[in-house]
Amino acid sequence: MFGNRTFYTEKTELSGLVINHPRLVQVCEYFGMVLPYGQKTIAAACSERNIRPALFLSISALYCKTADAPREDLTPSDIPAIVVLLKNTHRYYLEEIYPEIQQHIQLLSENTRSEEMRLVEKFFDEYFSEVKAHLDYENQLVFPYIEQLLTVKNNESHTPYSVQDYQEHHDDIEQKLDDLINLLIRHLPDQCDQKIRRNLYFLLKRLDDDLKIHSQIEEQILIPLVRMLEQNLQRQ
Amino acid sequence: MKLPRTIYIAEPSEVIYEGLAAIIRRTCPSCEIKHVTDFQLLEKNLGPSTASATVIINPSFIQYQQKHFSEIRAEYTSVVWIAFVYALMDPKMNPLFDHIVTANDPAQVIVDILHSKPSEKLTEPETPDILSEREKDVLIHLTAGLSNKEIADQLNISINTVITHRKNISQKTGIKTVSGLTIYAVLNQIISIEKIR
Repeated sequence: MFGNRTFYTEKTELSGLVINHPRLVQVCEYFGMVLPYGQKTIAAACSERNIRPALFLSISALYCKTADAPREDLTPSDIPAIVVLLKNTHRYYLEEIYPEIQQHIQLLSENTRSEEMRLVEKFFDEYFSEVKAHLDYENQLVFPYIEQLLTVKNNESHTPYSVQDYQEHHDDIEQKLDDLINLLIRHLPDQCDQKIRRNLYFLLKRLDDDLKIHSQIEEQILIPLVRMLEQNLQRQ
Repeated sequence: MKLPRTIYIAEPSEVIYEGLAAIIRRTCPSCEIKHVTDFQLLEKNLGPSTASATVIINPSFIQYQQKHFSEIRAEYTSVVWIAFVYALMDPKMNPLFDHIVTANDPAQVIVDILHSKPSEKLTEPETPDILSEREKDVLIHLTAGLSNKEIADQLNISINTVITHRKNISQKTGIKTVSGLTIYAVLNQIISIEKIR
């Protein structure tokens, strides 16, 4: 796992893993594991958070792009940890990276005082509201539904609900982000501050990358597990 | 994740073919992988139905028929050509392929390429980044909020033609949404900023 040289297991020290794969520091955070890690092994850090090491390693591999979802060894018992992870990524999007991107765009707009940059600002603001609406929808509808499923003993009282429009939302969110990246790299005039522009580009790419894995986790891991759970409940 | 349905591996070595095939199957169990051992055989296989195929090819196959290969490439524009190199390859041949992978690259490189969109090809087909007059017309109507059907009626062309123009516009500009294209149109003085207020 993780490239062709090192094979990580639950006995690996978490710090070693993160030093070799810096982006996992954020994935750990998504799982609620905070710095410093000390001498903790992956297994120890996971047990503190009620996460199965197999889940942690699978998701980490996904973020390091060394494996494709889904893994056969995940079960509905992993759902609570996945929901925690997704909720924390949402928080990161809403409270950190999107506002940071917004600030950069505002800076560009203020610096150039061009009408065109104002259009980009508007484009982003509209896009950001759509993203917020989608994340709110997941936070307020999808996750509570899943949490409810986890606590019911039989199928007496869970609200029927469909996850059909998941994919569509995600495509739209990724397409607009793609447009923004293309505008920034290919089309916006050169009077914009190069440094802000570069940093903005890095932010957008980081977000783009994170969103892609995020939807992969939702569509290829979470949804199939929830379906499994629903079927189990119906059988009872 | 959309992967090409058919992947041809044009490679004389059985061992290398098996290795590549195993890597691809791991990431895409449903892909159809075909082994071809010479270039003529590959040509026979590439029929009109291979619209979105990917070919992983040993460059030695085309070393002495580069011109012919260029013609084949021009004919099958939607095929992605990946050179798999494990012996020396004349760097002059680089532009002949969309991607070049060497035996020393991590296996993930191949997987990433198969996952990448066709627009991320190494060498773009000769489509200049400038919109044609007709494409500009379509863009103007699009930014005015017209539907494909309305644009077709206005410009007296079929809906399919409108869709093709839209596809080309997005490919050339890298922008897909109407609001994104509106900004592009303003930046390139195709429409005036007053129009969208």
